[in-house]
Amino acid sequence: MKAMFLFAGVKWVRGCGMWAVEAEDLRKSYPKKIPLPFRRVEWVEAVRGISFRVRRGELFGLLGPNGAGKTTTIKMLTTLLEPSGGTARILGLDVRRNAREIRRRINLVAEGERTLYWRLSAYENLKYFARIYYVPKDEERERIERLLKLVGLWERRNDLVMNFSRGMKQRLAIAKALINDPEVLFLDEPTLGLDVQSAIFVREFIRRLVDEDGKTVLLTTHYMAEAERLCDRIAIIDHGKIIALDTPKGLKKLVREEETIEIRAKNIEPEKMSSSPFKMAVIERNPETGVLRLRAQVDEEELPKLVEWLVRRGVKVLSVERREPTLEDVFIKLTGRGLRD
Amino acid sequence: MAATELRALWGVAVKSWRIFLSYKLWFISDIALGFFFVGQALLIGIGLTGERNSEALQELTGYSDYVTFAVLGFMVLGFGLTFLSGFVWSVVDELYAGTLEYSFAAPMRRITFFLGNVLTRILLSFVYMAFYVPAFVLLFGLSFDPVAFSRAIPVLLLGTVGMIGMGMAAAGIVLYLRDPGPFISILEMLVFALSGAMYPVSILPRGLQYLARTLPYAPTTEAVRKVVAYGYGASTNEITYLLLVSLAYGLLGYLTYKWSEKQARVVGLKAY
Repeated sequence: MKAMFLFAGVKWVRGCGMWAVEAEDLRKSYPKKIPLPFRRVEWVEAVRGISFRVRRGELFGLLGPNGAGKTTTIKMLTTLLEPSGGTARILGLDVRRNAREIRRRINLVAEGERTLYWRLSAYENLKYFARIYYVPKDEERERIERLLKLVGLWERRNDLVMNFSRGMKQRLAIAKALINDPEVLFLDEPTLGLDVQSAIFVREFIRRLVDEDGKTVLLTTHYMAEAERLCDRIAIIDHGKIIALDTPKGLKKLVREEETIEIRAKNIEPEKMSSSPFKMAVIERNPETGVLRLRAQVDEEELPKLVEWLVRRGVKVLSVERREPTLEDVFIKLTGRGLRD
Repeated sequence: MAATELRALWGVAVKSWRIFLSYKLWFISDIALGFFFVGQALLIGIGLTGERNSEALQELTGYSDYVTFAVLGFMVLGFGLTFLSGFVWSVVDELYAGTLEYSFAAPMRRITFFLGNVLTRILLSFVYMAFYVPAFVLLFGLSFDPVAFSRAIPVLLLGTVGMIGMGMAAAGIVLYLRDPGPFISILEMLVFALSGAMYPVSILPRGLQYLARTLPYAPTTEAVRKVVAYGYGASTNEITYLLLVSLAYGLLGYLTYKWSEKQARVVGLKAY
């Protein structure tokens, strides 16, 4: 009896701890082919032993290029995928053993726009999700109304989702993710493909969820500016591993200001750039003018060598300037390439 | 807890129903296709036997009227297929629409998701029957006795256990396949061919007869027909066999689905 109380007490303390998300040496491998009896299958490591913790009420970002393992990590944390190794706990609950209890207390916005029922109205979509998330009957109507008003879709509640813009669909997806009043919210690339206005709305909305409602948010993104402006802390992930974890300010301290160079140039052939011995990446292309913006991590001695290297390859250098480091520079410094490479 | 799960079940059923109704032409084509399919099979049967009443059929099945024999078989098969299609298409439809992940990320039990979809299809199959039966009565002079048919409902429910099991096993396999479309088409054709709906299973080659009797459809059809025609007393063997097959499929379906779901979470298939 005493042991039972002790066990229950430990469980309660875990459930009420300061960490909303805990990952320890978390791993995930996928088979290249479907494993069948007598078939040898090669496995690919998508997540290779990542560890991090997210505090309650924190907005935590996983920043990394496509294929870095961000979505796989979210799928493991939301119990959609079984980890191949390591442990993960959400609100003190183990993702392997307490999947259903975790699902009651979290929610997610998945990547892509085809995640809602396009042939149903906004209201019908939320009603469906209210039912499958066990929202009490007497709260259902009021909650759906409040959420639709919150994301500015109340006037369009009876319209089919197929007639919504990409931004409206994403706002509805966020409303869906709040239907069970989750303690932890997982957002996978929440602004991907949105127009500028919608992206601003979504970012401000997410920030308010943390600041005003005390929600814990874990989001993935490959937009550096988004991570920098939104997140309290950021883990930079590459090839399935966390290569840096700190506040945006702390991460930028990894790069000295005097090392950060921005070059505007023309006539750049990307294949010639891949053999560069310098830590450098293209961060913007203007298709109309053909002008590219490059960021490089070089000190005073290396700078002339970099310019010479570019000129020898037929690149027309238009300007060279020192700039304040960004998270992109941190990524270039840590990996030798850009987030979009 | 049970109440919340029931509300979730109803939520899934209503969602499926609304989505189905949003494709108005599907509804019309489903009814038309079913009608033409059965109508044609009936005409072929009558063409081959030469007349509606066949002595050979009477000897094999106890039914001399081919139309009554086939319509009864079709009704049982139509009901039975709702479980198979309810389970497999609920995964495939949502998979193709991209919505499966959100439904599976919810705390609702997976079986609730499947049964909600099945519920809609059962309702639809009743709606279709409401069209078919009067049409067959009018066109073929079908002698449909609702009282005799309702006598066989407990047998149909017994067969339902096996058909749900079959649906769960198929859903488990579908979760594991990269492209489930061809598998489902072959399975549905196989079930139709071996169900004994349009012809007695005993006319099939011996190997196929065994196969037909290892699936839950033909034993259900045969038991229902016998109970309707002769009552429970004369159908003990058929009902006992159906009980065994149904329990076996119920268990097999549950185990296959649990294994497949676990595997899908491990290897990351579909929307997982």
